[in-house]
Amino acid sequence: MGKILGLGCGCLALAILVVGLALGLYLRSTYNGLVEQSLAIDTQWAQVETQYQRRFDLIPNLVEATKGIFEQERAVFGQLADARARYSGAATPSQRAEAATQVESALARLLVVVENYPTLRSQANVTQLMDELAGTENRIAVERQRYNERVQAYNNTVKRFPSNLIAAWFNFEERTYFQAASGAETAPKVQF
Amino acid sequence: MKALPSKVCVHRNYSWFDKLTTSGQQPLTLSLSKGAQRRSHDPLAHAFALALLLLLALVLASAALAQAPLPQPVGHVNDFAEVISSDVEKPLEDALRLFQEETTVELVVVTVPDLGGDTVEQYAVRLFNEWGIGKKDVDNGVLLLLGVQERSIKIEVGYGMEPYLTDGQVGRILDNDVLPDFREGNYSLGITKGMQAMAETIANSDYQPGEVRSRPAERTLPPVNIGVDRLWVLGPLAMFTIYLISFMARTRSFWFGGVWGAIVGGVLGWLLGGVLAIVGLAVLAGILGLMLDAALSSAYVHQKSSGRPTGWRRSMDGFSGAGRGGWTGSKGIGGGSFKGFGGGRSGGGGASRRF
Repeated sequence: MGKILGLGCGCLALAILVVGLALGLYLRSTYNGLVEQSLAIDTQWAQVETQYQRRFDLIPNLVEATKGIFEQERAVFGQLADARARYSGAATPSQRAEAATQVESALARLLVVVENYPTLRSQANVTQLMDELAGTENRIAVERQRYNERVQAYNNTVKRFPSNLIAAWFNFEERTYFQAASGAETAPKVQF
Repeated sequence: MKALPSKVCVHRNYSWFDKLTTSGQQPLTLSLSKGAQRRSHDPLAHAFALALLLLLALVLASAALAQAPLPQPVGHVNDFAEVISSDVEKPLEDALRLFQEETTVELVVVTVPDLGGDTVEQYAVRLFNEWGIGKKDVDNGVLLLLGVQERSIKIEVGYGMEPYLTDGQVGRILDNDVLPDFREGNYSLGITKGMQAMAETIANSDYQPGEVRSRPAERTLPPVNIGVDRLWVLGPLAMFTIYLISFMARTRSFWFGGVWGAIVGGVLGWLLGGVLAIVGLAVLAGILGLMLDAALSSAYVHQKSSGRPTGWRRSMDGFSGAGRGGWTGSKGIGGGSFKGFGGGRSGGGGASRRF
């Protein structure tokens, strides 16, 4: 009979150990997952900003190459320079995002203008710049999409049961998606 | 970073494309003779192969319906739209393979009948990252994607190749080498010229084979949810343990309970991560297993009255037979001559055209 008691105690000890381990394991993996997902969102946003910077580095070249040809499009260049200044003066990521989306409409207009000048379009350096710019716009679209995918994965963990309990416990808050300004959802299309 | 005086060994005389451009007839006869050899099989084998292919297509189609349909790679040249002539396809494949052997850069051609509603840019970036073109963490892959119905082409450049094959250069290649032949309907020639121009551009740049030049942000990204990824181990482990307990209880010896306990503890520690967790849990669970097996064994001995054989060796035989089948079944090995790509990534670089 004593043996049976020992057996019962052993099984109980094992059960407690297993349940405790499983809970600890779940807590650990959920917490670490939240930290990692949060970090992944930040790195992905850095990737978006890298492409923003690349775009701003390209714009002066394009302006330089095309400025002399259409004096009448001064408004577009003014808008571009304005948005660029605002971007470099922005203090927070959300301000930078706002400035970057303002660039998009101005840039789209410039690209339309370039398209309407066949002589301009045929210049090798202009086509090259347009390619670089179109590539950058496409990169921005790709990196933004990946950013939003990561935010979605993270938000799922934060909102779903039971991981939401752990998220609330450690103050993991929902992250906001990147939303393009109206009219800037699609990258300006460059067609030749 | 740039302008090192010692350029790489890569650019000799562009041997990869010699066959294709200098002597246009030679690869033709070469591939024809091979094709003739292959075609001399009996019709039954052909019918069988066709049936097999149809079955495979059905399986793939049903699998693809669940998700967005992306084809599987068959090599460096993936002519799903059947627009590349057969006498160009094989030499082009060989040339791209040779180029990869010499430079490690993975150049890939894909033609599809239609893009399924995607833009060529979206499709290209999806396909590139799904297939993993280029080496992992080096991202030295380039994809040329042609959507025949949409009459659009995109050259997608992997992260690692962006400095050596800039968007501007890709645009020039498209305008000067690819599109003139495309407009005349000669896809084979346009694609070949485009691939050759890209190979030469890469070879003439200061690209160092094997140089890790990854995107800066991605490298610091930690793997997501290590613990969760490994959690599936618990299922088989628990089932196995229950099975083992049932036969360990019947044996008089109890040392194996300790050993198995230590193994389980080690696995749990591995799930938690860290050497300390593995060792600590192995010792702890080992002691527990020892105790449990001792208790179970003595209980069994205590209750044993029927006198049936409960020998170690005999129950071990039953265990090994059942166990082995289960484990080899879980090992999945892919076959085929094409080994797949290296796991590279891209982020929308390159250039595209509608023609």
